Amino acid sequence: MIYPILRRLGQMLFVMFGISVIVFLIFFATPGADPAARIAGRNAAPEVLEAVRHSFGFDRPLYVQYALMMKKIFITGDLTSFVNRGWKVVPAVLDSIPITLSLVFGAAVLWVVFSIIIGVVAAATRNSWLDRLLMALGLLGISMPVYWLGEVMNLFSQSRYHDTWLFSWVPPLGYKNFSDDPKGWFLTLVIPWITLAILYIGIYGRVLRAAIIESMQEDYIRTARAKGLSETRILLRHALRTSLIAFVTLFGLDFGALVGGSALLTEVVFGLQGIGKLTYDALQSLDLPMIMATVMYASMFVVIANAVVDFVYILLDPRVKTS
Amino acid sequence: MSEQMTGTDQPILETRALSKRFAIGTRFSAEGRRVVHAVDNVSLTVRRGETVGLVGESGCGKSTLARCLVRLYDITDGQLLFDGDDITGKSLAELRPVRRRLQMVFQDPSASLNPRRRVGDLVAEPLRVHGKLTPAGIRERVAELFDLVGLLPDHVGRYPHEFSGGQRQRVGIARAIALNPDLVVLDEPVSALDVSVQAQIVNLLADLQDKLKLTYIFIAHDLSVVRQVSTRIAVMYLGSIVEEGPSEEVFSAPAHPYSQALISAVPVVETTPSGRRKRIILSGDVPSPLKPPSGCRFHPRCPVAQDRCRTERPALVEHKSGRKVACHFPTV
Amino acid sequence: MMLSVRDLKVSFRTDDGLVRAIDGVSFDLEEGEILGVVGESGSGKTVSLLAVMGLITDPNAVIEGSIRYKGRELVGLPARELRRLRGNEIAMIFQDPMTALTPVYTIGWQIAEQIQAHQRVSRSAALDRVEELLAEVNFPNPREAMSRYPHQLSGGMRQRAVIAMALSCNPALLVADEPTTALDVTVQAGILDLVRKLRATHNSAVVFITHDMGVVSELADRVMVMYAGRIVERGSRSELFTDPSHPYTRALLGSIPPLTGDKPRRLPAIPGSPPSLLRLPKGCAFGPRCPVRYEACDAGKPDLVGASHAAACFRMAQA
Repeated sequence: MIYPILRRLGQMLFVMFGISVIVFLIFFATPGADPAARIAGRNAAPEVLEAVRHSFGFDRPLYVQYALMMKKIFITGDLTSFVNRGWKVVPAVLDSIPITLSLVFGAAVLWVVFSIIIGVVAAATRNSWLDRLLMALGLLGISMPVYWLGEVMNLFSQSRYHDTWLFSWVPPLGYKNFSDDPKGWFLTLVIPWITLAILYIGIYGRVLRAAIIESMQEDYIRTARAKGLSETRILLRHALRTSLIAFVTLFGLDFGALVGGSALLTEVVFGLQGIGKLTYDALQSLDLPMIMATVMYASMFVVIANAVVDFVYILLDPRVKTS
Repeated sequence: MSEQMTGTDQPILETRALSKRFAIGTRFSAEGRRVVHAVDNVSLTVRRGETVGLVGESGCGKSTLARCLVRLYDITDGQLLFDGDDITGKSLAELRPVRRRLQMVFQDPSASLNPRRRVGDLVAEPLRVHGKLTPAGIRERVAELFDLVGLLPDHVGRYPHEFSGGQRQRVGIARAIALNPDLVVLDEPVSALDVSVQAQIVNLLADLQDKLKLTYIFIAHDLSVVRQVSTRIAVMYLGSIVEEGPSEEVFSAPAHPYSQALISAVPVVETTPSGRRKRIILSGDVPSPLKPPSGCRFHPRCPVAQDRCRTERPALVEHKSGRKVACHFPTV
Repeated sequence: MMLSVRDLKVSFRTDDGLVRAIDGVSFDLEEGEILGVVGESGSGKTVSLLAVMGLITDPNAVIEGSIRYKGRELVGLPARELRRLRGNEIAMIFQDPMTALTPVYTIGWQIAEQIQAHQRVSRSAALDRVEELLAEVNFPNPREAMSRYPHQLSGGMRQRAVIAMALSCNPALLVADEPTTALDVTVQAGILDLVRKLRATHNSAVVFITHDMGVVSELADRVMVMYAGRIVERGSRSELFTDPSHPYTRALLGSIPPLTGDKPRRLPAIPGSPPSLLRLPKGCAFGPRCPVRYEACDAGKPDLVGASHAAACFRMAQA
């Protein structure tokens, strides 16, 4: 048991190292992108430029700069932004993690529950009007862009119909800490959760339906019928159970990516200062320390999410363990 | 069998202590890197004009050995000689002239034929790749081959899916004999076919052997089919040959306890009710080739195993003329 | 009479029109009897028994005729009622043990599931019964085998587990669809022995579907030979093997290479291949491949003629 964990850790370090080097090099190697010139502002005097270069350490060899940055992220934790001097990067990232996690976890619960319901019902009633309706709705969910859907949701719940009974409970945009105000935390996140989940409900519902229908063709389903089991039991205990393997793989990848910052659009639309928003802002101002910190965090999370998926895999599919 | 076609006594194919090992997993996987001895120390001589039948149960290494013989797999250890020429380590380019004379027919004719190409093209392909024939010459040769394997001339333009399993296997055979090979390795060529069609293909193979002076290595799990086509038999168990000898003798009086059990297990149609043969039922399963038993690999299932069998592995030794058995207590 | 099938017809609606997979099959089965059903691909041997089990789930299938189990008509029986019989009184064993078990559950779980589907017993009582069953099908260590997943067992062991599952509710009728085709001969020998033993201990009737004449001759009391959806010959084992009367049966027996004695220079092969159900020949379906065909054979489909030993052949009927 100890060995796979160590291997995962090694893998994680390797991925993080690779990504950090690439990000670092892109930042310095992009043609015409002298970081000192960017920080010093337009038309800066050569002396100012030189001073900036020195004070940020840009006059030292690249590998020294890289080593210093890594040390400041991981050991001393006092890396500061290039853009807002004095703004400590690591605490900023740590502060935004709970926001992103809250958003993604809630949405994930919604999309797992609803996509399983939709997938199972559609597979059970395949080719009926109900199946067609559910699949059409799923397609609709997939085709609505998150930023558009989010803005429409805001338009309805924040302004147009805010005063009706339907949306009067919706608090203003922004994030409330769970520890300070659990009810406020929940209420502010309901609309973002739904917005983010709709796309995934559509995708996962369709994927699961296809997987269940495929496994209904398997020999072991015929065996289950020959055993005299009820259709419901065959569907849930045999077909759905084996279909979940594909479902979990997909979930791990999407969940990891979202927590790593892919929920960016939702965060921007709903004014949530999560990881995605932080990365987005840092990219806009080409703030290397912030980019580096968020990217490190994201890659770590993607690898962790993959490890969790592999673990769940072993629980779901006993064949993985021995082969 | 007829020896008149051989000018010399040189075997067409010979393996000397041939082994094929596969590595499973990596050093980093849970059980670590493990080695499967799929083919273990096989020495086999195939003379011109004969048919050597390789029999054994799934996992005994007969298909792996077949693939080694045509160099589809690289050989881990030992030597492979084709017509006296050591081809063990030859590169693909060096093998080209050998490949022409050494062909293979696979079990599933529908899987080994490209479904998007007309069967005429499929049969012509080896001629184009290897031969020096003109397009007209190729057409003529394809027509000749179709006639040889019992397909109609107008079948040339059809696609594999338009054929029955038996006809597809005829196409596979036509492809294999297109370049006038000396030796054809047949890996379960009739196993995927309907019973009523198997006999047609078995007859076709016999006819082609007579007409084209072919040598066959015939692999099948159906022992009665192997007996029908083979002049010599090699019985394999867990990667090694346990018994080898003339087909008639091995079938009528198998000397290795495993061959005895294997042959006795074949269900045969008994027209006389009293004629049911005595059957030896083996206990247990074939052990994993990852953890082969000590001593004689058959000893855990052997009905006559002694202490010696658990520690000392018997070599394949010649007993009577032409009969080789790897057993401490053979019934020769 | 335990099972009585009369004029069973199974058709499938396809783009090319109605395809008749089974065309008027009738047979009876007594308690404790082993019936061998022999045929090649497309002969309808599997489809006819799936129909008996009520396991044809294709919505395009049309099933006609009568299947009576212990006097009760199964054709048209509501799904609930049928389910109560299936796995309980009528059990089935399938061809490929590699795919017949759900990969994510242990052997013990899957067998106990069947027991609990039909009997009001506790989980632990069901598991005790599983252990007994696995011991009965010669698992050396049944307790341990219960916690194994299908992929951890060899093909022969899996097939034994499937058989144990089929026996879990003491079925009166066991349908085995090519249960040894995917197995090696030495393993097959063990499974055939087991089937014989079970008939003796459980007195179950067995329908054994296979393409292997040798297997049938070692196991069956009575034999039914099918070709292109129809029964071409049926009779007791000795009748069928000592005195085969249909040209197809004869040709099939003749084309099997012998394992002992003289080997023929060439095998007496049957020309052509089994017909496609989409393009059945006019008249007798075996006609185009038949060595003794004459004018009458193209006129219509021959019926089974004879009492215990019967064949569907115009030539035989005429003689």
